[in-house]
Amino acid sequence: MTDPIEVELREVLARHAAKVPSEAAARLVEMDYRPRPSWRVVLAKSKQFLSRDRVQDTRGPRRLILRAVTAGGVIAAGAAAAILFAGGKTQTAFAGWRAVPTPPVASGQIQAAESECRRNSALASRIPAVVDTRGPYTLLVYTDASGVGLCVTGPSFDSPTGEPPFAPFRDGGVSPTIAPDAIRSTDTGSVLAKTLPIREFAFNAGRVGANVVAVTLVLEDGSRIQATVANGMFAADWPGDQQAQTAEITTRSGATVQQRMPTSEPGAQH
Amino acid sequence: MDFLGRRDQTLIEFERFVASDGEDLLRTAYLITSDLQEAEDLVQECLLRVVRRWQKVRAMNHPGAYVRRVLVNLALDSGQRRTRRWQELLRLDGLSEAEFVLRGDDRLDDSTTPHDADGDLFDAVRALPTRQRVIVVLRYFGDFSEAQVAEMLGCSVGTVKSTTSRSLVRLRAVLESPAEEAAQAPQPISVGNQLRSRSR
Repeated sequence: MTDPIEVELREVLARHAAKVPSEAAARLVEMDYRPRPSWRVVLAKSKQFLSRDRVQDTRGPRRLILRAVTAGGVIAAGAAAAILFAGGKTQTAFAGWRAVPTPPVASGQIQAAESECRRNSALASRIPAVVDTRGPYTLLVYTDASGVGLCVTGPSFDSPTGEPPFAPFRDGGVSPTIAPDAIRSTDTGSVLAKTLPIREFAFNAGRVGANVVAVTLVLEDGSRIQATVANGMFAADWPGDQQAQTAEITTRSGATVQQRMPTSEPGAQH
Repeated sequence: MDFLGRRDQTLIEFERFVASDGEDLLRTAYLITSDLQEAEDLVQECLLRVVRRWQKVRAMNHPGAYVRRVLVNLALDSGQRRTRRWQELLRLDGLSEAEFVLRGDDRLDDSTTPHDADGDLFDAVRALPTRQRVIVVLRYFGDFSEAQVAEMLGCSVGTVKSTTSRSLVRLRAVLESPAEEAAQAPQPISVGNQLRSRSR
């Protein structure tokens, strides 16, 4: 059965796509797509060419570059680009985050994170089993008989309510048996950070077998995220919405084991 | 005659391809970027790259699929650059990000009221992370299958499925609470910080 949201999505996208003016498509057709040589060749030839003939005005955006070159416009174009990016370093979302766990960047960072997380009543008197810090970002993992709970603090996570993102305890309460050289992911998901465009901050946490000493998660695009391993658990987080596809597990003997990570199926309950 | 060369049969074929597929490419790019100017730039860049390889591309089983693959990968690359550019432009203009969103300079549907359900859903699509937005547009505007989308993006079918699923969860949440979203203006979508899309 078709999901109503999918039906509506098709209709909305089609309606908005239809608003693209026909003259915009016509401009694409009118462009001159003849392959261009490098800009150095263009510069050299332009001086030669323009000295003997006028440039025919039949081309697309690259033609403008040609004119800019001959009129000293490269400098202007460069200045325009400089204006866009000048005046101080560009801010990026999740600045300071690292793919490997780092010591806290600020004195009292972990204590502050625990204090923040305890504002959620479910964590009022708890101590985290795993503390994962990456730059200014702190992921706390809590466990009890009812399961695993998570709390994330850091820049861009300030919400109107003043509470950091928190995932209530889950996992049924019965610890599953885990093979000594394996891990079991119990929580994967993402936080919506208060940035524009909205950005996700993904996390993955779970339990490790008795022989596991290190875990590296490999994401869909090949990025490698080293997890924190402590107290029989692992935890990691990263900017974006990619999921971990495999885990590289290091055991006490020094061996490395690859384990495929489960991905959520369509229609999974979130 | 322009000093960069004469037209040939290959180029004529390519121009025919642009005439037949250009509008659809542009619409796809617009839905991904929500910015007509940027969409035009993206498609032009895509076509300028493809034309250099047109001899090979035209021999493929599905040249259109290859071109769209180039387009979406350019869109994914430009998504990050665009964010940095927006942030720098905002800083130079002295605008807050919320004010920038309100201006909506490059949207084409200014007649849509802020609380219209159509506008809510499209705003929600705009607010998706670039990769999710690309997959949603390819699946629900382009009508590409999960396998085709996976090939375009160079990922697994499972990844396309899971990403689609997460996107629909977010979009469904917006539709189910439009009043709440409106109350949190000027942002186009609520950015409440409860942990979302949790799975196991």
